[in-house]
Amino acid sequence: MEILKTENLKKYYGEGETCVKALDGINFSVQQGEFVSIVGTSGSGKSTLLNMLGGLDRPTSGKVFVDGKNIFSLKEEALTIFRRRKIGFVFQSYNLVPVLNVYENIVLPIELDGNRADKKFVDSVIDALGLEKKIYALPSQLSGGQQQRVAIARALASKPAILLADEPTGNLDSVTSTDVLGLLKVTGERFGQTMVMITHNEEIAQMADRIVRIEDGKIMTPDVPQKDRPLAETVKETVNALHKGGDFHA
Amino acid sequence: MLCIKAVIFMRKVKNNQVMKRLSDKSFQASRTRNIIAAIAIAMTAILFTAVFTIGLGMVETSQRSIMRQVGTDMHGVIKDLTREQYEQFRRHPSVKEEGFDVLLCEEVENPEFLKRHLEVHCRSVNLYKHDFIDIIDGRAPEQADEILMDETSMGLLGMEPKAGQQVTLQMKIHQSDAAAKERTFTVVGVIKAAEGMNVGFVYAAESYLDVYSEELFPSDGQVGSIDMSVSFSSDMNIQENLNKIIVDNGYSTDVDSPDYIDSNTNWAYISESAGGSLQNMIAIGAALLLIAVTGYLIIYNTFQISVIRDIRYYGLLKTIGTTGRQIKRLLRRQALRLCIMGIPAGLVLGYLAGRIVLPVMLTTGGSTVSMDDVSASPRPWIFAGAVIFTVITVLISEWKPGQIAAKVSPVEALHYSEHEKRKKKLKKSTDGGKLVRMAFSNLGRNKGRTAVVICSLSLTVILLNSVYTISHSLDRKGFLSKMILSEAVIGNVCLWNYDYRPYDEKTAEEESLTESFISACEQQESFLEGGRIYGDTVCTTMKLENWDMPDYIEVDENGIPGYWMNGIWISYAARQEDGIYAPVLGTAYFGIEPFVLSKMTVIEGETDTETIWEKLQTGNYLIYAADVDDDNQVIQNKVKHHAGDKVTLDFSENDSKEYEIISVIKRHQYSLSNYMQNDFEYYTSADEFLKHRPKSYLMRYLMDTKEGGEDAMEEFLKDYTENTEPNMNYESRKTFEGMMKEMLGTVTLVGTALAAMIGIIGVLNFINTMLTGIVVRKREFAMMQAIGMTKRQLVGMLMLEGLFYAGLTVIFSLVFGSLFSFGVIRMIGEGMWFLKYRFTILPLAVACPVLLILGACVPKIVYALQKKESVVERLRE
Repeated sequence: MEILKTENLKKYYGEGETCVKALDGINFSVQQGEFVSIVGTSGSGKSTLLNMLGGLDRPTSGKVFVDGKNIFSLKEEALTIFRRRKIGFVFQSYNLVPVLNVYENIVLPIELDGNRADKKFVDSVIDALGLEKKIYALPSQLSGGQQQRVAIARALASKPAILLADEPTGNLDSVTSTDVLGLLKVTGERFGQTMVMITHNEEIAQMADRIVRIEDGKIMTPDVPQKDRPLAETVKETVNALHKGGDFHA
Repeated sequence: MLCIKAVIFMRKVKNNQVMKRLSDKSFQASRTRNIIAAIAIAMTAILFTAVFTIGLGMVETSQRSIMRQVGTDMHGVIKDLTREQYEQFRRHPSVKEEGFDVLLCEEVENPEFLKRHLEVHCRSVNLYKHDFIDIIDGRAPEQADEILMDETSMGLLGMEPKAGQQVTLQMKIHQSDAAAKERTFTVVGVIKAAEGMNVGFVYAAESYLDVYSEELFPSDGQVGSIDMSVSFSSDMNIQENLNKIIVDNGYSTDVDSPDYIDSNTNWAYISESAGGSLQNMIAIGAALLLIAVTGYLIIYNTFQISVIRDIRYYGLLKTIGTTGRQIKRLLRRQALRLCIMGIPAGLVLGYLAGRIVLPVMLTTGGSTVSMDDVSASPRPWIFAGAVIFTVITVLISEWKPGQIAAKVSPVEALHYSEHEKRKKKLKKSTDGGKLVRMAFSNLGRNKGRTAVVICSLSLTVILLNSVYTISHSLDRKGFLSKMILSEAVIGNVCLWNYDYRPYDEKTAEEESLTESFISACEQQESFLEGGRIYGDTVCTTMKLENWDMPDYIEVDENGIPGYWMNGIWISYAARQEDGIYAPVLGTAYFGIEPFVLSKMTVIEGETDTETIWEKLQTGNYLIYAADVDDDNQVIQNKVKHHAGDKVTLDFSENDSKEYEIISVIKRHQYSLSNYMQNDFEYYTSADEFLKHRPKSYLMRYLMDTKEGGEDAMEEFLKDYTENTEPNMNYESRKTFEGMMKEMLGTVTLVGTALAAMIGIIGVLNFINTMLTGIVVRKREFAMMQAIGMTKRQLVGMLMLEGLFYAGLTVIFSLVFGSLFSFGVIRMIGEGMWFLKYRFTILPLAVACPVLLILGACVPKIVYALQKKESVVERLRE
């Protein structure tokens, strides 16, 4: 089932000779439960695309359908509400609220929606991400990797239709990166979560079910699933370990 | 060696220009901060200038008031000169300005001036402006038959105060002259009567001296001799300068020398009392400190916020090689530039505010300062002081933020988030995501700043509450009953000038109340009843041996009784010329009519008024008045007689009489006595009094009016004492009520103005804090919006934060306002007899909704004013 779809998505900045085409007619779709990575060099338009998919920014033209709904037909306020119900974000710089503890940060989107958190589900997400001992800690008391795991938990907690990750490991060292990515993949699989991740790192991109390459605002590769691409060795090890229920680097 | 050279070289680098540019660029980048800081600085300057204006204005006014009493603002006077000496002295090089005054006759014998004497002078025209001679109609005299005359004297002659009329004066030139000379003058100018003096003045032209020079020779009196008023270029060492003129001209300042010439300094210039009392100094010091603290609170906050906001920028400057000292200089330069923007406006507004407040402050609170004397010249000291204090406040405020900016390490700056060092404490809650909880947590981000905002807002509320409590605690009934016993009291002006002390028929004529005034009052429609008080406070005495002294009365080593006051021994006995106390006690002997008796408060002995009156009428009894304190409580150890005591009064050498004390009453200094401290006060019936003293010893008359007749009587009394008998005076409940209202007005005005100032500073501080809270968290808000916080929720959270500020202010004000009220205000109330402390938090209750509305609106407005940036733009920063 198609959970996310774009139609001739364009985003132009400026006019005339100085016009910059950040996105120039993007057409692609993501299936339910799929893990897609979008790769491209800096300035290729990948971040702009992710912002469009998440409804953070409005396109010059074109449409984005999430769960069958054209999100840009919504007014600002409604779009925000749609976003907190359907989309989970993981940013490069964790972006946790400093005055809230881990648990409160995780359930923030749910509470903003005026709902009570599904405690059982939230606990299982926290368990899956190995945060059960840290739920009362404040962000400033956590390491970078831990903070990013909280951000992932926050994104998953509201059971969004799609999880969008923008360079989730950009601020982390390589060992921690591998841990976090492994967790992202495994928890995604466990909860059947559709995920779109942008990165400029080929190796990391290879963890996904499918890779979409973007350059100068256009998609370069044929949009074909690449399920059988080999995973990077280190990531593979971590994932295997996780599948076996083993421990990971802290 | 090379290193050292390098260092020296580096120190010589000319970087002023670039620092200036950097500073100015950063300055332009922080517009909002500049506006808030400039307003805060202006506000601080206003307050400082106002305080200096009021402080120096008080000194100046007090000086003017003394000068008016002395009669001149010239520095000094050299006395009793001949014409030749005067011509010689006036040429002395140190003299900046001078003038002469000659008394032209010993006495003016027109019958109209029997009670209010008229003095005739010839004075240099240039002295008029120095000697408070205000010509209100006409011009200065030029011909020998032209004069200036004061309006009251003209009134006594039955003339309108208009120039151009003729008067004939009976001038007795010298005391030794057999008869007065009759001279007719034209009044070419009318002058104001000298305030507070029961004397009229006439000033003749200088040409008078030439025409009548032969009669103006110095003889037994003052007539004919010249007093020379002098001013020097500076008012320092006036007496030494006067002495120098005398000595340089070959005369002596030694009293015993035949060449002695007398001189003295205008004591307005030497008086220590010229507003410089310790109490005033403390009050002004406290005001300066309060202003400095409020000013500091906001200026510090503004700079700290701006530094933290720009911390990455300072980190960057550090990275590219700017030293900490340079960064501090950069900030100081910006601070001084803000001073240049804020201070001038503050000086002007502050000076104007001070000039408005000063007269209100001075003319109320029972002060006797005349409106004409209230002045606050724009002295350079006021502005210099205000500028210095403001700049110091600004520099102190800017110091700590400068320290932060200078110390930041380039690496840390990138990660600098403005956290207080958190204790490693877990936050055990799971519902922090609720907007209310989140808003509350946000207050804790910078506890110091939150405290500053709450303190500065609370200060306003507490101040308002205190002002209101004081003005509400005024004890109207207590105040009135302390000041006056009946609806109105009339008497001679002398009584109010503490000058009622007749010792013979003549002095009594001059100092006592007239029967004509009493009968005029009695004829008024509104008059109900009244009673006379006759009084002799000088000549009636009592021998010490005749006083049956209670054992609690203290005595000195010679057995003379007295008491200690502030560490000084005050004897009840009269001091003789040789400094030894005579065993004679001075008494005040009063004769009263029944109405007066009905107003007395008996505390001991016979209490029935009729019985007391019957006994007094027998002529064998006296009422004794016991001393009371400010709270109208009898001072027990100063009660000198008890009911039943025998007292023998000596009226003259061969007239004494023994009385028995029938009752003891509470002394009433204002309505029953002569305003002075008399240690032994006795009251008998008027008839008995008149057996020993003449009828002219009429001290005062107490009266009541019919219901609703108070205003009519007040109007009559005012008119009568101004126009018909100007040497009579009155006071009434109405006048005291007016006084009280004015006093209240001053307290309220000054307090409210101060509260408003501090309030504005508090609100600015609050706006500033909210604004910073929003700017600093720009990215955090963007993130929260990205994960699904709607704008409405965000604004709601900010409003909740504002409401928490307001709520905490209310709680803080309530707690500390009540404590302050119970502690300090109550203490002040107990210290002042006219206050009866009454607890109130009404202003707090009124301030509550205002604060809450403010708390909700400020964040909303501030957020709305922010530059509109999309979530993505803000996330990227």
